[in-house]
Amino acid sequence: MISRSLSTQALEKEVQYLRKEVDKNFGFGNIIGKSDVMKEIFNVIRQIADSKSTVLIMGESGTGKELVSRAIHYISQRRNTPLSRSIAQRSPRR
Amino acid sequence: MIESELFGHEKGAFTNAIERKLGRFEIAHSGTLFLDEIGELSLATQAKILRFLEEREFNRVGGSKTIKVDVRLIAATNKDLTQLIKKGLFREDLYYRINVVPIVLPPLRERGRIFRFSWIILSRSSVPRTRNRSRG
Repeated sequence: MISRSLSTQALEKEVQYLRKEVDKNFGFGNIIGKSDVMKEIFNVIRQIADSKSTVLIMGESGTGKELVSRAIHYISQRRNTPLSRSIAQRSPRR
Repeated sequence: MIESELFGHEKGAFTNAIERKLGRFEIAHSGTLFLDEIGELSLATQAKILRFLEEREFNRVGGSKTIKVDVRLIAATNKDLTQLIKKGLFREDLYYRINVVPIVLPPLRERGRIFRFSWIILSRSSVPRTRNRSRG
């Protein structure tokens, strides 16, 4: 019994640690930018993270669209639920 | 086939569909779906996404059963969707459905000083041209 509760504690600690790591990796830390525009974007992300509304991220490739999507997911209440990712391919018939 | 990737398919829906497959929307149930390059989608797939956004439901490819999911959609594009609408390649109604919270990311070159500094460092470290002096 005792050893089991000890191992539960250890597991809880590990979960906490891993959560922190995840926050580091998926929060705002990875998004480049200290300008007012980017600060405004961080504000918007914080405000809308917990709503269910659809988000449209626009920007040149390499500007961090995926990072923004991860930030929204991982600071929202959905952080412990799946984040699925898909890239649409150009359809050949067009 | 993007439609099958997003919405899944039933066994026998098309030639290579040897078994039922869950799509991204089902996998992301109760969570978030990040859909990149949404401007590349065919009009048919756009219609299915529009239905999902309006009714929160869809059918797997080749499936008759309606599936309801709770998914938050985050779409992204590097295209100007309004231009695609003018060309008839993107549905205007879908555009208004996804453009609820627009986030426009500025190009990296416009994001503060760090890049300008790196440009200065680069230009300073460049090797000055050497002159060949001939001794007379």
